[in-house]
Amino acid sequence: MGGWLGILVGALAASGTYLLLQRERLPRALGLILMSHAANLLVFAMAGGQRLAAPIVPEGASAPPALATDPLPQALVLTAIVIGFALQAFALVALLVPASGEPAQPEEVA
Amino acid sequence: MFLALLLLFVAALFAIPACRRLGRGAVWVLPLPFVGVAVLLGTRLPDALHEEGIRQSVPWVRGLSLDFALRLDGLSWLFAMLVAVIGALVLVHASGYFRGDSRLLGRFAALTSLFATAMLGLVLADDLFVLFVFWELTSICSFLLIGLKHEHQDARDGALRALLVTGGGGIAMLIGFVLLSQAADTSSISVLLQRGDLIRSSSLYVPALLLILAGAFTKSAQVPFHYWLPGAMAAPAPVSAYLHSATLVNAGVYLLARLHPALGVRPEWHWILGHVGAVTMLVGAAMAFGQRDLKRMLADTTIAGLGTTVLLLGIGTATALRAALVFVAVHALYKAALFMVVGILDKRTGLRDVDRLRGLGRSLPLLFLTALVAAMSMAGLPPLVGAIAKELVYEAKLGAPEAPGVLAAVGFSANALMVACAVLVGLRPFIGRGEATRVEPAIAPVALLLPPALLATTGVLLGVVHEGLMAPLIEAAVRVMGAEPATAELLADTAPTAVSWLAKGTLFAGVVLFVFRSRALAWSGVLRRGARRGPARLHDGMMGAVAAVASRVADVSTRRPVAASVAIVGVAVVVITGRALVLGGLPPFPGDRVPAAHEFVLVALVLAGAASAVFSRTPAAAVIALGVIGVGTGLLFLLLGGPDLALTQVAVDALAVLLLLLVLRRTRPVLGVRKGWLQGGLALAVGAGFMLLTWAAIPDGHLRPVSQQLSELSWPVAYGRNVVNVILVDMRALDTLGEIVVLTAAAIGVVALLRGGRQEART
Repeated sequence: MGGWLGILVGALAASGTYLLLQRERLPRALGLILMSHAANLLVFAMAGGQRLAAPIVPEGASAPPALATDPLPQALVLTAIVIGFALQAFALVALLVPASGEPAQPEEVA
Repeated sequence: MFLALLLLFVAALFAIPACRRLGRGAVWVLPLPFVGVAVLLGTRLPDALHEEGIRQSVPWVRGLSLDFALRLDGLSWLFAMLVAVIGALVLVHASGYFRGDSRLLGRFAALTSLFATAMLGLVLADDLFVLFVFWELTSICSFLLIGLKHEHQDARDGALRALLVTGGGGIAMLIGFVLLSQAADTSSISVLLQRGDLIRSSSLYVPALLLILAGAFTKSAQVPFHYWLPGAMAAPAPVSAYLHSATLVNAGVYLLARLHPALGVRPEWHWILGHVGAVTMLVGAAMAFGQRDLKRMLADTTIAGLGTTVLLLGIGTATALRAALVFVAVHALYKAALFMVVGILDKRTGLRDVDRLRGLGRSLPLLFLTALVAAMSMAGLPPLVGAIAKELVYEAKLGAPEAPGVLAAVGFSANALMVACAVLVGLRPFIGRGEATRVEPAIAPVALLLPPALLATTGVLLGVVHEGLMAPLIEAAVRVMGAEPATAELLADTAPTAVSWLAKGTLFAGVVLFVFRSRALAWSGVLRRGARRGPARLHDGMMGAVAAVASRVADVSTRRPVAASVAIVGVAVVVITGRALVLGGLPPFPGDRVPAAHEFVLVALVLAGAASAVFSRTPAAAVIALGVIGVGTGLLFLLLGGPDLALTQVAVDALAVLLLLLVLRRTRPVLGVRKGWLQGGLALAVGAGFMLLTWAAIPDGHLRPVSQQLSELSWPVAYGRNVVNVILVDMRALDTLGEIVVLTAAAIGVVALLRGGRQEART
């Protein structure tokens, strides 16, 4: 189902771009998160997007089964997820928590 | 020797809790590891002095055939012993100096122990790259120690300047080491020292020499890199007593002494070391003479002392090498003592100004005695060991193969200035009639005064029985440096007449300079200011220029609305993928089979999430949409053979949603997505580009060769069944380390932003 993964990547990237182009800070932060989802899925799709076994060596064998998914994109995505999270956390705090000198965003009337 | 390193390293780990638990009792515990190292060194002395000393090594990086090799011989024993003994005394002194502030004492003790580990490793290393690692560690520790009182601006500035200068030199030195190890075809120092001829005939000799000298000269504060040392005087007195007398600044001198047999006979060596050393000696002494701040005066005389040592190493005769080593030991003893004395003066009177401290001898008689004895060693008065060093130095200069007259004249001027400084430090504050400077009551007189008094006493002791205690060690060290001393004794029974006349003349000239100080200062003001300020100005100017360029680049690249930057990137994505499409045609829709119903559900779920992230009205709805996307993606990972990914994705997604909710609770930002046809069009184009890119990137079924190889190696080589995991923690372990660093940096950034910067201390 690689083709469908491509559609998902496209949809996430489109939403992400749209949100990044906004003027407020919260949508931008959300857009960043969507873009990182899109990038992760793109790299993951490079394994082919087929329903195959996980790349795990079975007991007694010395290599994963012949029809296992490609482990390399998975390893790359795993790193990307963690780094993406670090970036998201930093961006959220940097964008949304007002600095000490700067006035807070206008308060909404509850 | 590994034991000694381990001992100090463990001490560094436990210093802070020890200070917290023991309070005042810490004074009995903190110096123990240093005493232990000194005892260890003492028991190994006979072996160390024998031939090539003791060598130990364990394999380190097998792929590079790099060994973690250590070597204890006469030369390294001398420097290691200084590190251990003065370290122990400094810790006793510091526990008095920082009395009442156990947090500061804890930080100081931990960093000092770590620094001592690095310094010991540096002088014991028997491999260029092991030495380099410890060398850099000393730079970092010294940065932290100079900036111990990091609330103060000048402490931070001084620390940063020291780090930039010595760190820059360290990088040059690393390149020099690489060249040297190529020229000698080994990085083992022991082997390399026997291949001197090979190295000296190599075309890499000159570049390697210049780069290594850059490292040694920056560390040992040679002109024109000397300016970081006075700036480092923002450190508390115990730090200066340790780093800037006997250890850190000696690292460069040690390196030159160590590599002397390999690098040291070609004319370039003599020329560079001779000139730089002589200029540094004179500049340092002149700067010192003009100082009013006693601590800075000591720092400047350290520069002069280091210059003297480098000059002697440059002369390179057996006599000169011997003089250099004796001088290093003597200088460490009296300079550490004097730094502590000035620290006590500062503590008791609040003053370090030589023109305002008066008549303290009556209220501080023991301190006066200590200062006087240490200063006498500095001035080179018999029977102190300083006198021996001075005579040896003069003997070496007069025996130099080139320009002995010039060397003796330069040395005479510098030494006369040093004598005057010795009088200014050791005598001037304590004498004088009239109003004595007010003295605060002592807080911890014994802990403060005992260490410098012991150092001064050692100076007397070595001066009286120098032949028995020092001569065999110095002789062994000189042999390691590739020279053959003519006699076993340090000093001939009767010194040559020229030497003894020079030594006496220096004392006389020094006293004259002291008496006519104000006139001499007025006469030479411009020169000294130039030497003191010039290179520092240049340094600050360069740093300012770097900052200016950086902020200019940042301005050009970021000072526009974020949306504009995003738009630029988006248009680029569209243009690049569009061009590829025009040239290569549309990639086919990669569909091996029709997806099952539950797969379609997942796809639809993520699509719906992407859409509602854009169209939701409230922040809460947007957060829910994000959660749906994260979980949906995770399940897709699980379905398509990536259980690890699924786990990580779901965990991270939960955390991200939590964090988002926390931030939303705290700041209540507005969502306010505005509709815009232009933005919508660009977003759709970018989405289409990404989709086609994904289709083009999907392979036609075969594993790539690299993936094939990784899968096959996983179990037989790395003993891991989960290939993804093996790739992460074994085959790409360095990348994962980088990932952890990024995560840590982000976490520190988040905490810093949430807490807001700490306030500057009022100085």
